[in-house]
Order: sequence, then C-alpha cells, then structure tokens
Amino acid sequence: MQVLLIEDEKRISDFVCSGLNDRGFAVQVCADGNEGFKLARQGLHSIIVLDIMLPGRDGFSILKELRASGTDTPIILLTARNELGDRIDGLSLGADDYLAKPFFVEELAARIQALLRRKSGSRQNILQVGNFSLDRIARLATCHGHTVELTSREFTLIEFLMRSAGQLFTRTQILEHVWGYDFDTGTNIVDSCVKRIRKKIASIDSSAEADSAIESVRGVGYRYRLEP
Amino acid sequence: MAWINGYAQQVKLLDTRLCSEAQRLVTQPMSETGFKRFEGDVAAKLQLQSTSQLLLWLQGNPARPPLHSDAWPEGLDPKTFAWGKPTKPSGPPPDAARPNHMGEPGEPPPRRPEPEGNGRPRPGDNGPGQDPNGINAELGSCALTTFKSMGEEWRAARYTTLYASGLLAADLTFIRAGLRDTYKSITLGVAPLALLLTGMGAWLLSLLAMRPVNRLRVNMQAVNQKVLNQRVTLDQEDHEFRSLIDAYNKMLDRLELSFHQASRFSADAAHELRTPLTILQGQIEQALRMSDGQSNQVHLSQMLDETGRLSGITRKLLLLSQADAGHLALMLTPVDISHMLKELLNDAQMLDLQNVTISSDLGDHIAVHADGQLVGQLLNNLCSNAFKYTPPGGWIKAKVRTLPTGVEVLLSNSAAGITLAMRARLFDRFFRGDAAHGRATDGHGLGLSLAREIARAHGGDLTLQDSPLDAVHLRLWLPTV
Repeated sequence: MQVLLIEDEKRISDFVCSGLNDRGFAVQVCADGNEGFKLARQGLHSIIVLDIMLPGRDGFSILKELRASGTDTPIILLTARNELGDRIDGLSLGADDYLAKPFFVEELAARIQALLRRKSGSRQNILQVGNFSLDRIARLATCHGHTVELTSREFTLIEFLMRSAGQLFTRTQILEHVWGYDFDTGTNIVDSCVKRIRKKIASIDSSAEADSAIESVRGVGYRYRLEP
Repeated sequence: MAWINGYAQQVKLLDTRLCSEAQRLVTQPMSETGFKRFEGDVAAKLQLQSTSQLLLWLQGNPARPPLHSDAWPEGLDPKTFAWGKPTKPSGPPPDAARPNHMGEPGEPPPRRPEPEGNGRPRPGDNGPGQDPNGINAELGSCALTTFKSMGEEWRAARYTTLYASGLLAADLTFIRAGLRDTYKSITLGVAPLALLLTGMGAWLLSLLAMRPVNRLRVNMQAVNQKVLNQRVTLDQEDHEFRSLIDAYNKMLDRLELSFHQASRFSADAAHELRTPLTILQGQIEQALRMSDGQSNQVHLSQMLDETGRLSGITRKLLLLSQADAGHLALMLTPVDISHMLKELLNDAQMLDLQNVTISSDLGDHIAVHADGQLVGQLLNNLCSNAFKYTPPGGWIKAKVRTLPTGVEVLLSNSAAGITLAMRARLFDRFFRGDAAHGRATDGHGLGLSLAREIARAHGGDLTLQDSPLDAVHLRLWLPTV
C-alpha cells in the first residue's frame, strides 16, 4: 500500500508518515505542489493525502487537474483555512474524503482504510480478529458464528478498535471517531459503550476470553487484544 | 379665555367709536332734526338694531336744558356716573383744550397763558361756565364709564369742550350678545374647518419632513451584524438631514470596519492556531503509540485530551467567526432528523443516567435538506447538554414534527433551577450555565451559541421557550428549502 502525502509542513508530514507506517502503509512525502502533481499523475499510489495550502500549486488545482486528466486515485483532502467551504469545493472537484486539521493520525488511517476498502470491493468487508468478526457492509457482528446485536454506535466503536487490533486508543480518539464533534456529556460515554459491548459478547460467549477482547488500559483508553 | 379677550377688544373698539361720535356730537352744530338724524346715523354705524339701544345727551348752553335722545330715561343724570380718567382722542382736538376749573356759572374761564400752544383759548361768551356734570374733566378729551340703567348695562363716552359737553352711550348687553353670536358661528362653522385644514396641513408637512427620517429608520432596521454594508443615499431633498445621514453612514463605516476586523481577527487567530495544534496533537499521538510505560501513557493521553479540547474550541471559534461574517458554507443533503435524535437518545440510555425518564416522539424519518455535519453537531450539542444538566430523577423529552414550512424539534429537560438571568445569557459565548453551582464542568460555553448560528445559517432558529424555572425547553426550527 503506497500512500502519497503532499504536505509542506515537515513536522506534520513527519508524524503522519510515522503513524501510517505503523499501520502498514508505505508513505511517499512531497512538500511542493508542482512536484506532488507530477508524482500523483504517475498513478503509482493507492491513495493520495493532499494538503490545500501548498507552495507552487495549491491542492484544489492539483485535484482538479488530476481528475480532469482521468487519474482516479482516491484522494483525501486535509483542510484547514476554511473547513466548511474547502469541504464543499474539494468534494465537488472530485475528492473522496476530507479531514480537518487538527486530526488524529488514527482517524486518517481509518479513513484511508475505508476508502481503499470501498475501492477494492467485498473481500475486505469482513474484519475478523480471533473468534469475533464484523461484516462492514451488513453491519453484522458475529462471535463464534453467533450474531451479536450491536447498536450503530457499538458497531462503529468495536470496528474502530478491531481495525487496528493491538493498538491503544484514547477515549478522546474513540469519542471523536464514533460520536463526532461536540458530544460532551460530562460522563464518559466511551466507557459505558465498551461496557455494553462486553456484556453483549459475554452473553454469547461466556468464556473469560470474550470479556477481555476489549482491554482497558487504566487512565488511558482501550485496545482490542490482537490474540487472546 | 378667547371670549374674554375678544370681549375686551370689542369694548375697546366701541370706546374709540363712542368717543369719536361723542366728539362729533359736541363739535357739530346741531338742530333738533339734525340731532335725530345724528342719532340714527350713529346707531347704524355701531350696528345697533334700533336707536333705543343708543343714548345721546348734549349740554350746549348751560342756560338751557340739555338735549337728549328719546330713549334717555327720566331722571338719569350723567353727573352720578363714575367717570374714568379722561383721555385725549387721537388727532388734534377741534377745540381749545383748556382745563375747566370750577368757576362760577355763566362766567367764562379766566384767561391763562397757553401752556402747549395747541388751540386758541376763546373768550367764552356762550361756553359752559362750569363743568356741566360737575366733574373735573379736561376739555377736549373723552371720559368713559359703564353704568346700569333700565336693566341693561351701558357703555358711555363723554366729550367735553369749552362750549359743550356731549354724552353717547350704547347698550353693552346687545354688543355682548352680538359678540357671543359671532363666536358661536366661529366655533360651530369656521373653527372645525380651520382645525381640519390645519391638521391636514400639519400632517402633510410632517409626512414630508419625516420622509428622510423614515428612510433612515427603515435603513437602520435593515442593518444587523451580517448586513453592515447598507448605507443611506444622500438625495437632493435632504439638505436638512444631510449631515445626520452623513454622520450615520460614517458611524456604519467605522462599525463595519471594526466588526470585520474583529471577525477577521478570531478567524485568523483560530486558523493560526491550527497548524501548531495539528503538530502538537500529532506528536503526542505518536509518542503515545510508541510509549510502553503505563504512567507515560496516562500522561500522554491526558495531554491528548487537552489538545482535543483546544482543537474543539478553535474549531468552534472559527465556525462562529464564519457565521458572524455570514460565510457558513453549507453542503445541503437530506438529513434524517428522526434518525439522528433516535441514536442520540439511545446514547442516553447507554449513559445510564440516574433515574432520568426519557420520552420521545421522533416521527418517522422526518428529514430536512441541510448540512449533515453541522446539523449533527447541533443535535449532538443539544442532547449532550440535556444529558449533562438533567439532575438525577429528572426527565428529558424530545419531539420532532413536520410543519408546513419546516421541521420543528422540541427538546426539554428538567434542570436544577435555571434563573431568569441565566436563561437570558444561555446563548452567550463562553457562558456556562452552572457556574453558580460551583461545580467544575466540562464544556466551554460555545456550544449553544454555535448551535443557534448553525440553525440560523439554515434559515431556521434555535430559541429558548418559556418554561418553569426547573426546566429548559429548547425549540429548534429548520425550514424545508
């Protein structure tokens, strides 16, 4: 999986690069608009992460010309200046998704995976870790072959953890991914949600393994156990 | 008041006339028939109905009895009248003005040096040797009085010369009645018409004069924080208002400038904060991913929480400044309000709120054409607020319904005594509802303000409804475009 990251701020491209590498992506970084456009046109990358404000040539112009020349590589825009307006312009020019700065790299990774999955077809739609599996199209969760009734939020949460099994997520990261902006209830809804998922899994699979599939890291957050 | 004034003036006019007629009576040589003719003439001049309303009295030769009109009542003696101070009528007196001293009867007054030189003293062979009325009146002057006789009030003028003294009296009651009639006709006929005309004139004039003011008012009403570029045009007709309009326009210029500066400032500030925040958040996330030690992870995750909070505030400030400038760019798609709220109320159940009763009537896939991301943020905000501030044992109610022009969301929850003062400030930026309770709260008081701006950007509104102090009723209205 080759990702092309066109971003002029080195400190941003550094952590994005590092985070995506950890997720198993190879990342090629380019800090210049014109250069980035040339690389993107070669069509060698699985996905392009494109900043808007760039030296040489801005992101919109790159996007427009790429789509005009028939390059259909999925593109994620990183918006900053005018999030709402950029979002509209970007999507109308043919971007596949957008992410507003500041963002979590984990969130970027999730978006990239979702886009790639959409492009590659059904093979990737089943996400399985251990005995637990998720059908992302049907939004169906099964444990040992038994269906687990999950709400939309519960499904989104466990999918977010399972996709990067073994990776630790903070409550803030989970909250932003599952609930989006401005959901601040004062009590921790992430904890409540995890508790309910655990209960539902336990009702299917009474073994201790099920209970600990989602591991709590005290004071930090949660991770999905890679292998029991 | 007007009547009294008018009466006084009328009497004054009468006095002048009476005086001049009395003067004519005395100075014109008059036979018996001449006297009669004179009587009729004066009555006509004074617009009296008959000569009975006029009294004449003339004393020429003191040796003979005085001449008087027919109406003169028997026994009426002018000497008994309380005469006012005599005044000289305007114009030179036709005869010598000589003080009439109390001399012996039949004797001419003694010669005196002429004090003023007007008129010649004549040796009075036939002049009245004494004041015929026994009143020390100056010669060639007119004295006035009012007396009662025959049940009527009379106004009398007496003119005295060296040779004769004449008295003229008119029926005052009649004059008064005439005056009253005149006033009556004025009040009944002319006055209402005059008033009407004056009123209409004033109305037209004020309408004309108020035109620029009205234009200014309409313009001022059209101005709000998002439409500051309205100006009043300087028309030709407005020279009186030109300086006012000029001042108003200049004030708007300054207001617009400073408002845009403020708006730009928060937009720029928020934008400038984004890059360092992105770097900070990304690097902390990276450090957390790489760290093994549990204590490090706890610290880093707390830092990540705080940068997340900072990002949230920055994002809201940027959105608010865009909303203030009227540039909240919307991406309109069908948004299922029923579904969004159902999911949020499910979250409430997950939160295990203590004994909070939740009831809802969310309708079936009620949707509006709106910006899904922003409306989602709006509903997130309203619901999480309700969850946060509903006390244990309280209730939350949600209702969605379709109106002819849009969709209405009513979200109510019980609350721990929100005072009227707090209600008034609920939509203020950085206002936190329960600061008075001394409880440390999450949130930063931008949510409701932004929620309202999002609703308004869609042409809708978010308002606080009237409710008892222990409840909050919010009404969101979004129009179907």
